[in-house]
Amino acid sequence: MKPFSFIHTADLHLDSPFKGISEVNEEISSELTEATFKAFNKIIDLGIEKQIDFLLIAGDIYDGGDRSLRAQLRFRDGLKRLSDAGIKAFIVHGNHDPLDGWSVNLDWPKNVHIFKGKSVEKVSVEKDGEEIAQIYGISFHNREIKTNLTNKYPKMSQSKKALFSIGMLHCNVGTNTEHEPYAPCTLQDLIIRNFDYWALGHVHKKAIINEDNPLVIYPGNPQGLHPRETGARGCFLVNVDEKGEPTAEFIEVDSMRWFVEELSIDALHTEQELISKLHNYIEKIRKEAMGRPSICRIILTGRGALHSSIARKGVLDDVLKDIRENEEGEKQFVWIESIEDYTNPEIDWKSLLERKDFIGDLVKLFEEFSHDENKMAELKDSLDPLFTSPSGRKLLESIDDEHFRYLIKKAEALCLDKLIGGKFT
Amino acid sequence: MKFEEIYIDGFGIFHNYHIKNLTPGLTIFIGPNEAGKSTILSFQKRILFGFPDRRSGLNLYPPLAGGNHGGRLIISNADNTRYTIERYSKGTHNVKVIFPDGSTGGTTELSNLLGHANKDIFENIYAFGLTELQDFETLNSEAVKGRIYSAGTGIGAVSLSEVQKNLETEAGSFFKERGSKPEINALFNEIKSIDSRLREIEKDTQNFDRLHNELEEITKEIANVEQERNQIRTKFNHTTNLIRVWDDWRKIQEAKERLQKIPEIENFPENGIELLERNIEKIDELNESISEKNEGLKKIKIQKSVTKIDEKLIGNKDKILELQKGQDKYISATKGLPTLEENLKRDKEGLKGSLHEIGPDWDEEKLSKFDISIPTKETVRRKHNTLEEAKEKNRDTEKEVQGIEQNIKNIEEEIEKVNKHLKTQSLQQIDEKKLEQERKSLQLLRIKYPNLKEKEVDMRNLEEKEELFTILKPHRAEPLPKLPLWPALMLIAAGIVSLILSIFGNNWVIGISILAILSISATFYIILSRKELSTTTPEGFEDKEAEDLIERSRDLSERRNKLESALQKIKNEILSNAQICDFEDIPDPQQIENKDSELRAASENQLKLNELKKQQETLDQKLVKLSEEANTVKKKLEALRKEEEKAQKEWRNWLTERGLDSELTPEGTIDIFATIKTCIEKQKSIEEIKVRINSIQQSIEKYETKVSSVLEDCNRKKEEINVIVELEKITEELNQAIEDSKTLEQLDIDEESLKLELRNLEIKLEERQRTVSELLSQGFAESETEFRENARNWEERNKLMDEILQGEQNIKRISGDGKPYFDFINELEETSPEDLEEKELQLKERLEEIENNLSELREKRGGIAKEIEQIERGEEGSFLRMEKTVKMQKLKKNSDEWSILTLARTIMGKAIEKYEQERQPGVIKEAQSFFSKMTLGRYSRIYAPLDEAKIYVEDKDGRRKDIQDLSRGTAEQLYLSLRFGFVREFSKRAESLPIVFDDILVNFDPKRFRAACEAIKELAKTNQILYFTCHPESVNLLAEIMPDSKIIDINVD
Repeated sequence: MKPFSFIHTADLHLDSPFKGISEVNEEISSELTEATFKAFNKIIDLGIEKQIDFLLIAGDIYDGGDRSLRAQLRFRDGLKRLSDAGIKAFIVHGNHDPLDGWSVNLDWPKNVHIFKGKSVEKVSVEKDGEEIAQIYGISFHNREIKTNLTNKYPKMSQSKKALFSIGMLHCNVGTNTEHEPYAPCTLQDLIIRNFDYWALGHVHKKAIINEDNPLVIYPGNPQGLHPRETGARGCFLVNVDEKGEPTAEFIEVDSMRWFVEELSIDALHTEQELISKLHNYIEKIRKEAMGRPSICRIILTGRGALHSSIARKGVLDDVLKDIRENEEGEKQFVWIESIEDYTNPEIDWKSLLERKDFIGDLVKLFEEFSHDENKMAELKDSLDPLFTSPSGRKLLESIDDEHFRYLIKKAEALCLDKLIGGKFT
Repeated sequence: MKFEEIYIDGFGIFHNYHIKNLTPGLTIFIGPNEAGKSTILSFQKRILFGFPDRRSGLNLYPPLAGGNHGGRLIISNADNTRYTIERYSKGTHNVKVIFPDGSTGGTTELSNLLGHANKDIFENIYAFGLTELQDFETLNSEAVKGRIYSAGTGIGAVSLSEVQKNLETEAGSFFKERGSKPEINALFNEIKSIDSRLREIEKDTQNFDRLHNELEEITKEIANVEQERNQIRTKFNHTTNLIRVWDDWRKIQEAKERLQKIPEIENFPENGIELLERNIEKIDELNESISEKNEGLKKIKIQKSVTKIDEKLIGNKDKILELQKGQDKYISATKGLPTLEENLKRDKEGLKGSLHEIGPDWDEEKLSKFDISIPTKETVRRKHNTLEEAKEKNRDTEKEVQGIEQNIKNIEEEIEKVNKHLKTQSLQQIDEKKLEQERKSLQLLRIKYPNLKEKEVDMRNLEEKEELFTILKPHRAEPLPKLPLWPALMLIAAGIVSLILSIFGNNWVIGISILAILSISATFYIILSRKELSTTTPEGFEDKEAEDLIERSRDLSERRNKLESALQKIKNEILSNAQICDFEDIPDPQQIENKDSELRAASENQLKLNELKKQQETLDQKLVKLSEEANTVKKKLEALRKEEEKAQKEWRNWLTERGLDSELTPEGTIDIFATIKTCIEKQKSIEEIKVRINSIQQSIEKYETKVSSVLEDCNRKKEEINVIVELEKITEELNQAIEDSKTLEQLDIDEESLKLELRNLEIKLEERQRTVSELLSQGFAESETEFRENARNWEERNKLMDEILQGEQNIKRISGDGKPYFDFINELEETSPEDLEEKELQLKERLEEIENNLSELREKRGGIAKEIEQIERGEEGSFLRMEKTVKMQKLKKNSDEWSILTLARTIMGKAIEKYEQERQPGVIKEAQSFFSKMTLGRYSRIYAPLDEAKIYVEDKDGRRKDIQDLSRGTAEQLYLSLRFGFVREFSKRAESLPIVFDDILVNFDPKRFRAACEAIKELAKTNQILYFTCHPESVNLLAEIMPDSKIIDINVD
């Protein structure tokens, strides 16, 4: 059989906005809006450069909800380039871009095949007139597919198998709670189909969930869009040799990279020390990002003298401003998206609890409120004015218990800061 | 903390006012109105919390009695450490806290000492008068209220209510239920507007498909119209082309017609006319040149005939040039001659003068004979030396003679002097022998005399002893009377007297010495007298002595006899000697001494006399010697004088021999030698000048002879000539002759070359004429005129042929070559310009119509395409979505912030509530106890609701009363109780501070007054109390209740 190669990608989420960024400037903003397209174009470039035989896209190309014409047009442009280079593309749609979702009438290039949503479709792929692979796939015909779609795929007979067979599916394998349970299935469901390769989509973190026979891969999204989506992002370049043995190589294509860095204030005493530490982090990130611009969230942890000064309103904003100004005009910038303060004052909580004065009462009360669930519920009501306001209801997520505890802790530190300043001990 | 001492440096009426030993319990300050109670109270407050600003309107208490405005408080804390708190209004106003170890501190340290009680708290709770007491608001002041509710909160000086307010304000800056400015409200609105804009964009994209269809249709239509337009445009272009070539077409026709009328010529040389014209022109030029050259030749011939040359002059050319060279030398010789002659004359006169200087009869002949050689000069010098030497010797010898004569004179004088002495001395001549005898006797006398005296004393002693024996013999010896003491006393007295006298005489040293000597003498006397006594009368020997005495008296008389004889012997001896010395009796020592001096003087005289005689002898000898010497020297002088005369004579002879004045000295002769030398030199220079004049005159003559011979040669001889003028003239003529001969040579050369040129020109002329005739034959012409006619025809033909060709090419350029060209020509032949123009107009109109239609269509298509492009390019949606997520994130953060602030406020509120319920009663409980006691149990409870800044009381029957319902006195008792309660509560947690009351009990009835005093007593257990009052009865009552209290009268008068 002829050796061939293909690229497997998914979850392009073209033109989807970055989430969790609390502030951007113009330069960053345009870089961010272009990031998903750049990553996609890199995949196309890679395909052309490597002279692959076909491209597999396993769903969530764009967010239908966003109704972004730009996403569809740019997607078509990319596919056209690929088609012009004689490379085929096979597409299944996922929960974010179901077939019944919003889209405009576009003429797809001739080498593009979009799988339909009613049943699993089989397409043969030829190379120089010789059939090299069979691709099976099914698109989400609507968003709410909560059933196991693997049942619709045929079971290949082990002996008859002559051609390399690929299954394309947008699904949630196993019990990945981080992602919504669309088209849930188990790894076993996939294995028993006797395919050679499962090109999956939906999970944003790259994962080879079965290494061999079949090779089951989530390529992850090629561009991280969320503080949780840190690290290198890309696609898989799969080479199939004469014996039909696939080898998959991960290739980074992200145009902008996410970092989340924790920084303990334990050993820091002044804001200046904090700033210089942050500069060190920035340089480290710049190095790690390998020429890409990057976005970083800094999480301050630990307890120490610096807590009370950074807890003051506007201090961290000033630090942030200072650091961002430094990055202005930097081609490979590191945008500190936010500095989250999880620090605690240098408090001997135990001794505070033992105090017989107002402070003692206060600290004990805070303790009660963060442990007693009834009291917590009662306390939550105090936030109703905001959270049950018409806009609040619409735009604000309700606070979970863990976050609520965090807020209580912050409130406590704030009270102590205001009442006894730095003199906690 | 308590006050130990108060020191007012200057404050109000006080100056240097010191209150010491304040008790830890109650101290009562009593004084009438205006005694300064309030001043002291204010002083304490100001020292602790500072002086008010001048603009505050408060009494500043300036130091009316003098001193620096301010002072100090000495305080002690619980462990009895003393601190000084000092503040002056001068300078910074800053307080100074002085620690026991001498170190100092400021506000912070003071605040620590005061347990962080601030001014408000101190003035309202600890140090107050009736005014503050009656004013309930003072208890409600923020600081105090905060303190009441936060007493014991452990939060330092922070006010809870302030913190609460702060939290609320901050939360408000994030979110308000009905607001638009707070950050969250603003974000809500911004997100809403982004959403609505996004919806609009979505609508736009829905048109995308429709627009695509429209675009396709219109594109098709445009293609059709464009095709039609292209066809018409081709027709139109063809017609335009036909019109364009019409002129060319007509020109070709005309040229062809004209060509037929011109005769044909076989050939014609290229540029024929031009060549002809050029040759004719050249021939004319050549002819002109030839005539010019002939003219030149004529001129040269005339010039040559005019020029003539003097050959003789040219023959003498070298001689003349030589003479010219010698000209300058000749001129300078003729000019120099008179000067030289003048010099000769002057030198001759000079010589004459110099000769006269030597001597009147001196002439040149004498001069030439005179020898001024160096040997001669040397001879003169030698003679001079001989003469000088002789003179010198003469002088020296004369001086010697004078010296000797002087010596002789001196010695003679001396001899006279000695003789005089001798005369006087010889008068006292003494017999030397006698003198020697007398001296010997006197020597003996001197020795014997003391012997005599000794013997005489012995004699007397013996006599005395004998007498004593005689007295002692019959009775026992009486004790010898003691030596009297008075001499000693006298001595001392005398000493003292002499001392006194000496003091008067300013000579007390001597006085003291005399006194000392006399005193010592007296002491000696006393000691000696005692000794004498003890030795003379040894006790206990009295009985034996009697026998001894008899024995001894016999002994004594024997000894006496012996002594008497010895004495007599000595006397005799002395007497004999005394006679020798001219003494009549035995001389006493004084006489002996006198005689001794006499004898000594006599022997000295004798010695002097001898000396003088010796001198006389020596001098006589010297005199004789000198006289002899004088004679020898005089003889020598005589000889020398003769020698000198001889030398003089010789010199004069020498001078005469040489013809010089015999009176000349050798020095003068040396000078004349110099003059003679000058004369000889002058003579020499005269000779030289003469020789020079001679040679110059010769050369002049020679030059002049030469000049006249040259003139003769050149036929220019004249009778009298001026050499220089003639020479110049002939030189000029010679130069002219040379010039003329050169000109003549040049003319010959010019003539030759002109002739040569002329021949060349004639050859060229022939060549040109040949060329012209050849040209004419080439142009098929017999004459020049014919040649020109032929040329014109040839040209015309060629031009017309070109025109026809050009026209054809022009048409071909538009129509194309080959068949299209012939089609074109055919078309042109069949049409007219009018027809063509008509057709063109029609086509043009149609074309414009179509173009308009087309651009309309294109515009429409562009609009659609633009709309599509806009939709496609629409990045706004992406940006808006980005903006929305950013704002959502911001919203989340802000909502967290708001939540934290709100939670902090809520929980803190709950904590306050809890604290008020569980802990605040401490203050109220204490206050209640005081109030109950002060009202003698009429009121049992004070009630302070949590949510009200109000206080109620309950009487013993449980009736609640508002403060307004209480009598003035009772209200004051309530306020006082509350303050007491606070003091109590505060003291439990912090430093207990001293309490200062200013007559606060005046409105209390006697029973309650007493009860209040009891309460004060209670309070005095924990706090120091200073009570200021002007009521003696208050003092009495307080003192009665608290016997250990201290009373201080502050009436400064």
